[in-house]
Amino acid sequence: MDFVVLVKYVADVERIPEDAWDTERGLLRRSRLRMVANPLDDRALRLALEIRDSAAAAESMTDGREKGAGRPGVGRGKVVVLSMGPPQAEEICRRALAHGADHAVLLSDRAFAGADTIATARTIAAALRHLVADRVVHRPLVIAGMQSPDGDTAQVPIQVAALMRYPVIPYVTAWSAAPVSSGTGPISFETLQPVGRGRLTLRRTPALSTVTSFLPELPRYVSLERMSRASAADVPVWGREDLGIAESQAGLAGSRTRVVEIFSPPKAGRRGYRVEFGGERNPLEELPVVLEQLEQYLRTGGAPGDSGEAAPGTDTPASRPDTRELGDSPGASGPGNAAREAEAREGSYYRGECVVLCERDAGTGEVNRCSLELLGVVAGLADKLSTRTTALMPGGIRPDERELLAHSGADTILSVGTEFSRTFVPEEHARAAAYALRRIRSQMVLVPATLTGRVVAPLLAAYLGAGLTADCTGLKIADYRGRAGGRDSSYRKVLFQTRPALGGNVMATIVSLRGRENGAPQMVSARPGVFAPIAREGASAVLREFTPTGDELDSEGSVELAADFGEGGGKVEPDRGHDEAPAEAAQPDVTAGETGATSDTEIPLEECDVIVSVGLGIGGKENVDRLARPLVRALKRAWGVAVGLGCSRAAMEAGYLPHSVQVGQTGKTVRPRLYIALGISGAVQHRVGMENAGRILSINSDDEAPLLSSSDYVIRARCEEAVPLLLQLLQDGR
Amino acid sequence: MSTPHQPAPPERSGQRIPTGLPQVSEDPEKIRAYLSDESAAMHGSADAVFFPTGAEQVAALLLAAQQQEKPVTISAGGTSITGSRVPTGGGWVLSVERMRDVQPVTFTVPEGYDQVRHGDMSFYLNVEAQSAIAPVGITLTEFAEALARFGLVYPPDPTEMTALLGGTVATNASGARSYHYRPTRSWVRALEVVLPTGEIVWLKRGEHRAQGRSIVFPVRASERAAERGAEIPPGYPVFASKNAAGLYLAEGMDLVDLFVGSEGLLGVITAIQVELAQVPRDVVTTVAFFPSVDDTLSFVELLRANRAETTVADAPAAPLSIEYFDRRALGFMRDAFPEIPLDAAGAVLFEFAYERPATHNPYPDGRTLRGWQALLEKHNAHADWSVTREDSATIKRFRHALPEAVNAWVRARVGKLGTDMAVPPRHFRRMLEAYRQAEECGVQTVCFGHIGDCHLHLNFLPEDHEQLSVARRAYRELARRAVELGGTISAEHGVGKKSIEDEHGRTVPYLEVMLGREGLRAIHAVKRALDPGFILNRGNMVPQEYR
Repeated sequence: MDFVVLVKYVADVERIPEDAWDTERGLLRRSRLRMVANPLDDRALRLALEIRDSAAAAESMTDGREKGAGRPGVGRGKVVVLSMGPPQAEEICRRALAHGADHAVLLSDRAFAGADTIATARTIAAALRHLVADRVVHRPLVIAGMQSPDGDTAQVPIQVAALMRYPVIPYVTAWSAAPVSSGTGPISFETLQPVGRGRLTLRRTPALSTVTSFLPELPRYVSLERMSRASAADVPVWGREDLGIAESQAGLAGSRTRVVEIFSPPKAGRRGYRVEFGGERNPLEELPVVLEQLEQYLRTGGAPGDSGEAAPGTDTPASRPDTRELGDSPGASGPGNAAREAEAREGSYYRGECVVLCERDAGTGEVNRCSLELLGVVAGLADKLSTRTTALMPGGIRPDERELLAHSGADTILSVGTEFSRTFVPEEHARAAAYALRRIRSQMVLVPATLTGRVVAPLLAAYLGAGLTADCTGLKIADYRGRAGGRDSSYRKVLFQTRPALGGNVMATIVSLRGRENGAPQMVSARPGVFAPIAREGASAVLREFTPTGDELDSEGSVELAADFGEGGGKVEPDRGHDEAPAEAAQPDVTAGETGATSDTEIPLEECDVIVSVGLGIGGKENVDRLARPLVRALKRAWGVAVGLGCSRAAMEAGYLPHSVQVGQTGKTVRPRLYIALGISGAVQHRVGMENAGRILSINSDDEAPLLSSSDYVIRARCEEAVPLLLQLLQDGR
Repeated sequence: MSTPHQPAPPERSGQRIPTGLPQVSEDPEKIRAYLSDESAAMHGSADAVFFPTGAEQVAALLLAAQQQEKPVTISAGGTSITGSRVPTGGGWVLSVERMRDVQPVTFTVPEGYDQVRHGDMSFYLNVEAQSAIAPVGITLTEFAEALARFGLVYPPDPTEMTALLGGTVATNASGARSYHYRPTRSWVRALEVVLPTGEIVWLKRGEHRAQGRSIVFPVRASERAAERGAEIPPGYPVFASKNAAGLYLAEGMDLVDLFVGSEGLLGVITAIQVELAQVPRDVVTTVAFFPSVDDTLSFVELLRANRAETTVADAPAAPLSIEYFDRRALGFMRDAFPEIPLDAAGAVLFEFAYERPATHNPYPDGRTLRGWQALLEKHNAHADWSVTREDSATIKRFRHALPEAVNAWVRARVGKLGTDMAVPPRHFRRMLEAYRQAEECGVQTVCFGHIGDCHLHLNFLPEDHEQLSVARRAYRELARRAVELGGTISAEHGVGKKSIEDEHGRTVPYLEVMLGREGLRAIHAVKRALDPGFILNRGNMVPQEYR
């Protein structure tokens, strides 16, 4: 079996050197950041090498052939690394070779600059087709990290799969190969599921899988011999023309989204709001204030723009994003200019309903809170646009849910009567959504940026030909005046999408412009807890029901290749392999947290919105179960966000929690929106692992604990005193 | 809870009355953190911990201590393993951790130096001259991060990067790359020191030298300066190589050298001018596993010869560091690195700098790499693990795997006994033979360390107290042998409050093994001259009463 590993050359946002900050303008200088291979892509490479080498071993055993050494290509698959980036990215290509990859190709061309996710995916897909056509790889398994730390959109690999029509195996946490008498058996992947883990069996390639940090790291060392081979190897560089991509489809010109503004997030110092136990004021009156402020902070994304109203301040320093203005764009046909201008004068540039792709909580089966939050923000936007708010419910709707959706802001409910596998298969969800969206006119689609939504959204965007902005924290309607298609235009009432980038160190405001030419809506996703739900008592909603057939749904997964490649691009045959149903969802084998330890780490700590972290000051190991875990559950329930449990090194060493959740220099570096430190004194080694948290709440009775001075909220009390009160407050009517 | 504390101000007429005593804590909880060190082998007691921010506060504090006859123990990062910062005699602790800015008192910052801020600390830097004037309360990590912005590095690289700069100068710290860069001493240009009697002096290398064998101290309040001299006894050893045992005393010596490695005996260092170097842009670190000790040694000897002559034909480059792990050490590390070859008799970790063959090729050119490969093959190396700077975190983990595993093992037992001896290269094989004999004493051991500098740590890991006394005897024998071979009993840890039983079963200062009574008396005399009240860092190197 052959493998293609996608490796991104990224800024190391975990260790930003001090001088990378332009303090005068409050901006991050990208050129000063250390560049590395995306750490998750490293794990992807290790996965590919492991499967390749195990397959080689198995084959050589059964064939009685000599070990593959010295006879490359005989008896074992190949691992090819693809990286798209500046010429410097050659470094990570060579590094991959040193680690055992057979070939590496760098996709680098000035014409690729400024590419958004879909333009990037298109470039990588074109390279993949070349590798297949040139027989460098045969029916490959493409593997990539689930996301990268800089853009953190998690879109490119998924969109590559959509463009290649490869089935997606998202969030791989482990793999195994069933031994079969001849060679290796099918490879089975354990994957993250909304609840617990699932298993997907790869019956036939090609396919694409994304990997999580649960997979082991790439061993960082290589032999001098391999290093020497990697140093001498040829790393071909492929440009736009080599790939046969039209100019209008590459880089900025081929992007569906446009960065309008980059500004730095408001960097208020830590506020140090203190609640004293045993002081003059009653902590019972102050704790609710703290909880309220924190909830408010989580709801507003900790960034300018809340509920789609507040805009990023116009006085914040702006810079022109990336490289250049959009050049001539022959591919941009769509409505005639006259019509476009007429429309610009009258109404909004985009037309149609404002849609929320709703999702069910995998545990309870209820419509999840994030969907309701998005309905709330969309209802406000739809009012401005004088259009309807639509709740799209793939998988159908129960009668009693109509009222809930209507009260949350939906004017229309689109119910798509489909059955989904118990194990999450992203295509099923994306196809059902695409089916409904192709039958209505929509101008924007919002998707919850949950574990599942973050895979469904990029698939759906690729199906629809829409631009997609992930993890928005601010949404507003405004006019955009700018150059597109080589001329100045005004785009009335488009969606301004603000999101954090570079690990939250900068904010970017983005608009989707070119999607309309394909009849595609503006698409965004938002994390749970960023927006607030609304309550429209007495409101009702119209229900429309679709019941597509299986064939109808399958056709929804196709991508309009012609539209993607434009006239200038060579006609490239898609890999035929896809229509033989390459991957099948095996018997769903979902296991929900077997032990206490696993249930704490259902999703990686780095992915949590809120982290409750335990130090020795919590007052004994038993308090982890008595205080910390209940607090995690209560916050999850009350705020509907992903909450994880972490610990300090001292707590880890005392055996409170495993090393896998230790935060700090020798553990994980995390950037949750809220970090709650229970009895952590906060030595500098701990602080480097969490100081970029949006807000820090410290509960500690030691006044001298260094962490207190870098906390936004300090509750000066023993954890045994304070946490039960918080639990009670979270339970009472919150 | 801390409470304000004002010791009675000293009122000696004709002397500058100090103002502004530093911030203090008398909270027992808070104090507790200063009563031990990394070794956790000794515990002291203290009435208060003071947190001066500059030399004048230190001076005021020391004067107050003289007045009240309070012993003062200096504490930096607390990373020592010799008890040097443990206040065994009670009194006050002077923590330098809040001295995070340079406050020039006795010197002016020379032209060409700009202030550099890094987080909440600052220092002065002259990029051109590759020199910095830094406060003592900053960690080596912080200093390294700040300097990295200018492509500079402070070359001494003790393994423990959370150590404070002041502590590393007071102990003449060294680390792996000291093989190439030499220990801290070589990098110190000048020191601001507060003497135990409260005078603040700025000692610049080249300005104050011993007159032959007699040392005269340049002090400002000079009425008693005359009596503050000391004589260096003949026969006091001077080491050309790495040494951290005892005061540096040599004919015509520079006074800066007296204070580097003085373990806080003679004064409180409050600011340091250091020399810096350019960061070697690209470095490969390799761990090579060898099938026999002999192969390991001949490989190392070849590299060492290469440093001396630079023209050894088949060595491709002079390494920055050469470290060793014996078979038993590798056994301990296998938990963290199961892939360590099972039949490896030892491993050598070495680093070498290189020029890239092309801008975006992160590896050395093929010739260099093949050169190393050939060298390893010639010495029968089984396997080698190599990383470039980008992946150096793994090697850091590899290095830490041993102390972590050993510490975990020791925690469940009665403690460990680690040697820190070094001998001249020509005697290294003899010393190794002594180690081999010691390993046969029946106590579990691991051996690792700076083999490039002929400086290994043989750690005894006794199961019980009986084994502990067996190990102590073996240890004493090794120390004796190292001295016999012209070596040092402590190349980097320092001696602090360590003691040892002599052959008659009497407990004597560890340093006596190497310097003899004569040498210790000399140290005592220098100490007396500067600290007549014996208030500073009592118990380090030499006891208060020493005859």
